Amino acid sequence: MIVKYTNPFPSPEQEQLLKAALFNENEAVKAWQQWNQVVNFEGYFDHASFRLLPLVYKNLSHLQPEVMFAGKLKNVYLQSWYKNQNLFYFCSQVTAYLSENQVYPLILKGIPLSILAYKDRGARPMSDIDMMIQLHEAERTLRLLREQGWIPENEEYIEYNLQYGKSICLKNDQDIELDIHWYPFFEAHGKAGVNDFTDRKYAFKVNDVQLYSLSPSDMLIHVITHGLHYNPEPPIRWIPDCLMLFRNLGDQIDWEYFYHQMIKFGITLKVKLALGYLKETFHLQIPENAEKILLKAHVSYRERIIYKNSKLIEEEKELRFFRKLFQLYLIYLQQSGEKGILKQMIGYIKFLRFRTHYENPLKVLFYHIFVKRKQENKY
Amino acid sequence: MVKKYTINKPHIVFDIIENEVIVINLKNGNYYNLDKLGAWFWESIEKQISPDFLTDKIASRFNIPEEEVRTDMGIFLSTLLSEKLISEVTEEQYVNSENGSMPTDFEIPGHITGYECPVLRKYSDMQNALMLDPIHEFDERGWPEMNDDLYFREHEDELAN
Repeated sequence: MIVKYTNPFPSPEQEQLLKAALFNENEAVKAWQQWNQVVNFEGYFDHASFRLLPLVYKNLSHLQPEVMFAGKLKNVYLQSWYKNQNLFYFCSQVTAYLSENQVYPLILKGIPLSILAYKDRGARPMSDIDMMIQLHEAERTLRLLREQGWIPENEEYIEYNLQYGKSICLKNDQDIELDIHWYPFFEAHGKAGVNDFTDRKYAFKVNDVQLYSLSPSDMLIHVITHGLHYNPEPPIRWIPDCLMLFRNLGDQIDWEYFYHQMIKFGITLKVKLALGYLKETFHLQIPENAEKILLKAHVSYRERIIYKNSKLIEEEKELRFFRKLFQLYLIYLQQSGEKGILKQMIGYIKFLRFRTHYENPLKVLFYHIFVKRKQENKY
Repeated sequence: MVKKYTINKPHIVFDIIENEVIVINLKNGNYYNLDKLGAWFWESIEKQISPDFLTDKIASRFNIPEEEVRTDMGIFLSTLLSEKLISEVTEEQYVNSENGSMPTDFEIPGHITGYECPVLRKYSDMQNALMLDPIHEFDERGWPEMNDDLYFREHEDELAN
């Protein structure tokens, strides 16, 4: 099943809340008041907005309680802080254990972003731990983690994920979620070299344990690539992630390297869209030279068609079979990095077999064209 | 001899939010908060200032008999020790010894206007506090102090079954 994907850019209301979380005092207060005029804070609103509240609290906490429901925002912040501490703790424990066994993970997403970009342990709520290990270490890592009580959520998808996916989700007896990645994002599949990302790893500490994350340049690529995916729930958090990264690690972004990675992984369109939006709406300042080079970069046909199809899917109420098939083809292209039409066709059939749990793809095609359509016509 | 203490890192983690110290013991999940003099006291331990030096300051600032302050601080200190949030350290382990004197820049913060015996609030059952909606199911006492009325109203059906 393909779930409904939606636009990664915020709605006007979400944009106001983002401004309340990120702008300086007067503009932030104004944005917070405008948001409250259209959204009932005491009512129920979307989860993506809810996840921004701890950062809103940190940005506006020095104001009077009556201006901003400070008590309630503080509750949201404290709950996020507490939940995050557990994830920090398990992350440092797992890393220490893996390192003892000569597996050296890179920590992705929330944990390094909280410590290095947000410089706050509660402002960015997290729901899981994300680590990256090298693909050839995946099976050994899973074995080591099993020994420590981490169980893969979907055993049947391990083989598929090792071949076409980028990660696998594990849980322990306390229901803590640990995602082990071999690629930080789909576009790196088949394109990243063995030491890509690890060569430029960036050291930081959590609870006195030495951890490593992606370099600031790779982190920015990761945030943009991950954020600009069409998702069932718009992942608008890529916006504060990028801006906080610029605020606290911006001077460490190697733009030349960033450009090479962007071209290599075919994410030029995403980078252009993301940075363009941040510049226009959040006054992001990109070094002039870097901006010039990025603007000139060519967007490939593959990128354009993937993005265009995602937009079409957003507009379509119910996906037609051939649209689904085409979308799967694009997902396959993104995840395999295969070149050459023949190789792609053979690879795609193999990919479909995985997706349909080893059923013959021709049978699936026959079912959708003849049986299912007949049933649909009947009703 | 002046007794000295240290926070039991790395499994004791804390932050300071709006003059309130929030602490978590990662080994058992217990959550604590301290405010006013309790928060200042905690900061003194973090800065490796012996609590003995604080007694004089508190007594003279709030015009309280030194003995009373010493007794209150002693009780508070034993609570922190029994909860295993801090430990006593030897002279050699003490990183930042101030040559036996109180650092001049460590003043009682201005927002503390009166003397109250410091209190450590402890929350050991965090399951509900983590599951519940922090906007609607907590009152002005703040997270993780649940508002039972709101909680029962929201979960009436589940509880009845």
